[in-house]
Amino acid sequence: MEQELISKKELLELTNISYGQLYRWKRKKLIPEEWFIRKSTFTGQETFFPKEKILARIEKIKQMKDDLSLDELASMFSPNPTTIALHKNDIIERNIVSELALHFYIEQKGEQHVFLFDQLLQLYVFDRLLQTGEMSLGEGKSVFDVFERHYKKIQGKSCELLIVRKMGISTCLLSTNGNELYFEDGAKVVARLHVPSCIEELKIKVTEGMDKWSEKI
Amino acid sequence: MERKDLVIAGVGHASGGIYNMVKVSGSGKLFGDVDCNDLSIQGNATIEGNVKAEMAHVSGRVHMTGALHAEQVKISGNASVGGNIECKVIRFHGNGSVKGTLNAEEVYIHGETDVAGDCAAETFDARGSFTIGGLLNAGNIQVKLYGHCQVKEIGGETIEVRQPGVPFLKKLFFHVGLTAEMIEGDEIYLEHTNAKVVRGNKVTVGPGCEIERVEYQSSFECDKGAKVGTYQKV
Repeated sequence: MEQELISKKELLELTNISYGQLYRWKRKKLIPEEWFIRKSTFTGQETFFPKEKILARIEKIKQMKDDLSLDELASMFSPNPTTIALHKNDIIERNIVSELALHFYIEQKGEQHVFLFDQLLQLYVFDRLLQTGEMSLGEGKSVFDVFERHYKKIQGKSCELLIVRKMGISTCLLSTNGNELYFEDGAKVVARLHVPSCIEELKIKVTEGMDKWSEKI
Repeated sequence: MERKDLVIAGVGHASGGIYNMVKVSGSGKLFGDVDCNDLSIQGNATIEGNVKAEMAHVSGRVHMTGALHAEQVKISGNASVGGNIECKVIRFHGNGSVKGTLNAEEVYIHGETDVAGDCAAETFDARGSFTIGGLLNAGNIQVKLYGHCQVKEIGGETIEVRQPGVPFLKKLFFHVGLTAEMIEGDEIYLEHTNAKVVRGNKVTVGPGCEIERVEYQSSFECDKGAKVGTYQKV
């Protein structure tokens, strides 16, 4: 996983922000610690960032910092789920997940009207896998189960969801960040999802929708 | 659940748990995590576990093996914390040592403080001597040099390091100044600072500085009594 790096100096020039802003955002945890990569250069130690991720993040912060406070932004980017709960009808109307996925979830877990963020995340991940065709409806149950049982333990950490299939039998697992996994021959990793980025997308979807929603009313 | 007080006056040990006030005036040892409103240590205490408190006041000597999570922390005696500290306001008047990181909104250092990890705060005000093993990241950094200060890296918005009048004898026997590898900020004013690289928008280098390289954006001023290797506008 070689990624293109950008030095701090180039980053500041490119995005037109100051050292103070960069450090403030780091302090507020808008930019995760792992992105600060230290390398030694001829002028001593320098800090580098994963280029694509940091540019996208700074663009997002710059866009939203006028409307939201830094703390609100921080909770949006943090891997800890926020205290959002949505009604069933809202989820469908605002197109956060597909109706099919939602119905399947209700079928599995029983009728419910209000969905908490954790549940929304399960749904969102499941829906994404469905949409990309990487998973069948029946396999969704294992996704829900693994999230329900184990997600609490690794909450706040960066983790990945893996779907592995061998001879038509599939299983899914959650793995915390940076662990290397090796599979036997014949086993195929069907899907690999980075959970924190899903959380981020979902949060944006949920909050964006809220603005539009309130405008409508 | 009702919170009860725990008072150790004399010698004793207790288990951790949920308390209203924990007060150690003699010599005490607590085993396990402590969650309390008020932590007051006037004697000698060892806490084997994490501490969560609204107010933590140490005027004696304390050793915590875990993390400290509090609103207000005041250390007038001697404290060593094995884990991280997370709080709103922390004041070091005595001797503090943190093995992990220090995260606070306001940090005031009047005594001697040693942080092994990073230190992040909105306001960082120091007039003693301190050592920070990692990055000092604060919005407003004000340092009055009265002793030897050492930080690996400093980053922030306003960074001001000044040396007020220090007695001649103290200067003769002790090193009074700040040492850092890298200092980055928007507005930087330095005195008696030894650094490899200083980068900022507005950089002013005062007397007694020894800096290998300065990179600035809008303005750069240098005192006659400072040694600057190279400087460059970027």
